[in-house]
Amino acid sequence: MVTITFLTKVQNSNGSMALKIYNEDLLLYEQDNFTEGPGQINFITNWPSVITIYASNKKNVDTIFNNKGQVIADKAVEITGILINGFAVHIDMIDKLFHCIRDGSNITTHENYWGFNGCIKINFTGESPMRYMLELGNQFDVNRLEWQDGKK
Amino acid sequence: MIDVLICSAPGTLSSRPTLAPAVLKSSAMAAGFNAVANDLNNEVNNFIKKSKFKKELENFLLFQEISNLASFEIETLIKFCSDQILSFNPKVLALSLLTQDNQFFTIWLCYHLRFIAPNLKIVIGGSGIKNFIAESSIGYADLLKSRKLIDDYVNGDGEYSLVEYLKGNLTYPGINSTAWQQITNLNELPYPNFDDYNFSQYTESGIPICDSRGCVRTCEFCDIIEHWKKYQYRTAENIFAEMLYQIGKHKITKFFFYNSLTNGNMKEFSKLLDYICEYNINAKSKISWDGYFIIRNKDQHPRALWQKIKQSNGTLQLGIESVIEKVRINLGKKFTNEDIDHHLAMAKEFSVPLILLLIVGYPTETKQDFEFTKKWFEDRKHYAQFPVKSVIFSLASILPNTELDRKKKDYNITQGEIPTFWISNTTQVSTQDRLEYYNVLTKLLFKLKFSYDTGDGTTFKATKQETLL
Repeated sequence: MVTITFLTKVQNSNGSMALKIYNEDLLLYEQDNFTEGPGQINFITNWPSVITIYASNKKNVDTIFNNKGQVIADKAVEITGILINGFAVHIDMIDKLFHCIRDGSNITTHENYWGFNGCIKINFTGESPMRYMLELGNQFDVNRLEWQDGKK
Repeated sequence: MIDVLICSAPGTLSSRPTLAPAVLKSSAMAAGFNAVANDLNNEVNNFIKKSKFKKELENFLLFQEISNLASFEIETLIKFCSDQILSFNPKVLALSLLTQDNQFFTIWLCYHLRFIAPNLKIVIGGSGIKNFIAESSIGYADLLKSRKLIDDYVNGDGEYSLVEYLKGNLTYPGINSTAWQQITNLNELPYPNFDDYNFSQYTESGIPICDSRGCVRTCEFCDIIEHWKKYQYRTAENIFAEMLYQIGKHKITKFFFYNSLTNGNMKEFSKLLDYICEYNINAKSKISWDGYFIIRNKDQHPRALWQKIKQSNGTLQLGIESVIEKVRINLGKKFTNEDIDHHLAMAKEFSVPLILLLIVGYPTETKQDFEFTKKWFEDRKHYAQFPVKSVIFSLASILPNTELDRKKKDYNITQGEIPTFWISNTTQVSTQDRLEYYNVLTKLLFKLKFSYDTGDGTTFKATKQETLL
């Protein structure tokens, strides 16, 4: 078993996004009332596994623009870090690991800003997390603890 | 199931045995614990030697470089270590980190062990668990503990604190804290237990022995004096009794002193040489040794002492650091160039092999000083090979929490990510200048027929990489 941590930055607008996280049919995590600001999603799963995340509760009116067309409020969960048993994936790789399909679309995108309704998958493959990290070429950074918060 | 498996953490690219597992094993056993000492560092070095990805594995160990080409070999190496550890079925794994070079591999090994053996208790210790770089405020051991890669860490002398840890006394000084108590009497400690070592597996085989801790000098670049604040030594009788004990047990008469200096206490050192000389008169297999030796003025190291060093088969490692007298004296080595010449002459006369240790481009050295250094070696080329067996170079490092680290502002130094990366705004010597000087000096020594060892050629590589950023 492994402990997965998603470091998050939540923006709320007319409430929060709702996320359900599954390993096949097993519900690992559920939240529909996120607190705004930085936070964490933690769950335990077996290895290897394919994790499926369902994002919902987003409506068009939740994204608010000013008169210059700039977004001034949004409803979204941004994943700023992924830790597998405490070992952080490099920030530059985070978005690339998520395979996202928005509701009503069949195009796969790679995003870590989940301000949409749809399905997101992340594949934890390989014999062990160590193999997975080697495959990614992911180094453990002993000097940058702030990666834990998703900043570089 | 054994109570504790004590392993040296891989990453020390030395061909000699490590001492800590044997020292800790004997302390644990004396307290009634069932302990095994494993020089895992050497197992890994032997693995790397046989691998066709030697360079890639070394770069992984030292810089955490993950080569695509060697990714499966890296995995095999980590599994090789974890399998070996688990084959002992230990309740506790104690990993001893000698230097910061052991830090990256320790992380990966613990990471894998946590996955395959989540119930194995892991504790790390040793002088290598301190912060990785000078500018970092993150404690390496605290970071690993916070990420749950280890259970606990032990700072300082492990002979007592590891035993207390095994007893479950987590409040003992040094356990999960930076404050620790130095052992007051080294003579009281049990002799290291090398029963689990296979000495035939080492390129340089010999018995490591620790005669002292700390140093009598206060060189500003040194982190030893920051670790062991007080110089402590064992009596000549105690050291020699251990030598005889190890000879009897392992039939090996070569000893490596693992310390900062063998001649910190001249009275005990001289007495120890007397014991060895007396032993060597009739012994079939004579004792030989090597160790660090501080240079003093010639009255303190008279001819009679050289005679004894010769008869005891000593090899001296002289920490010269800089041949620029004022630079060397200011950094804390209070001896003159005349004193160095005296030691070279005596070593030649008495056939005592010397290894010279030199820091290339000390922060207070100027480009003119570089020229002087080249000339210094040219003028002493008649010492090449004999008695100067080799010259070991290292790039100047500003190690965390040293006096040099604290003096950075006074020296007008700006530091980069790794200890060897810094620029002195006073001397206007850049990192690139030092790397070029390093290359020029090694070429010159080759031409002059001095053997040299770029002891930390790996650091050279890291520094070179950083200058390219």
